[in-house]
Amino acid sequence: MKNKIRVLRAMREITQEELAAALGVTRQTIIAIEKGKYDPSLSLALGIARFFQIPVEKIFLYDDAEIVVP
Amino acid sequence: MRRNTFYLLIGVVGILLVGVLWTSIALSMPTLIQGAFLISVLLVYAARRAVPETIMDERTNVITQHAAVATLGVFWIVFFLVSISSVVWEFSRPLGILPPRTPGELPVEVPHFGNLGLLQLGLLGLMIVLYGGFRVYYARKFGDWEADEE
Repeated sequence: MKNKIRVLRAMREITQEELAAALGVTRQTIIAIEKGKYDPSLSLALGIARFFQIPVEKIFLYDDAEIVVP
Repeated sequence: MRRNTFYLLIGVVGILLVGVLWTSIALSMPTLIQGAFLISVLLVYAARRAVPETIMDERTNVITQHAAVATLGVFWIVFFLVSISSVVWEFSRPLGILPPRTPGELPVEVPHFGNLGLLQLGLLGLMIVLYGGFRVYYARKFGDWEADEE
């Protein structure tokens, strides 16, 4: 899953360490999310959305290829 | 306590444990390493709670879960094979159950199976019971038996 966290951080001049501290996670987790190596839980995704005051779907971009049609 | 201090503490505890293990072997005293190991684990857990920085979060938990499941997925087979072999070896020896002695007859010393076979059998049983118990616990926790109103 792609996301715009790096861009949003840059726009607000927030470091990964500061964002991690605000969300109660490690800096490595922020790095992993930004690089698309780790998909955050729903509660963390909502926490990130609340932190940036942007709807969650504007931050996380769901890849159509990931949708499994039953 | 800072995060790096915590990691340093883990290293020191590990080195101390190696020393205690060596002493335990030299003194033929297994309770020494057992006690030291328990105390070390409690110390590390207590120290981890004293670290204000976040060192465990949902990603590290996911990593731990995946690593634990992968390890157990392989290890249970090896453990089961070794344990079942030990049970066979131990129970293949004379069980030490002798016919009643006549009065005045001296007891006969025969080699008999030790407690290892029983211990291994107990461990296998415990493993199965634990797995079943955790399956039921997590199935209930994650709604396996929830009924819908419809």
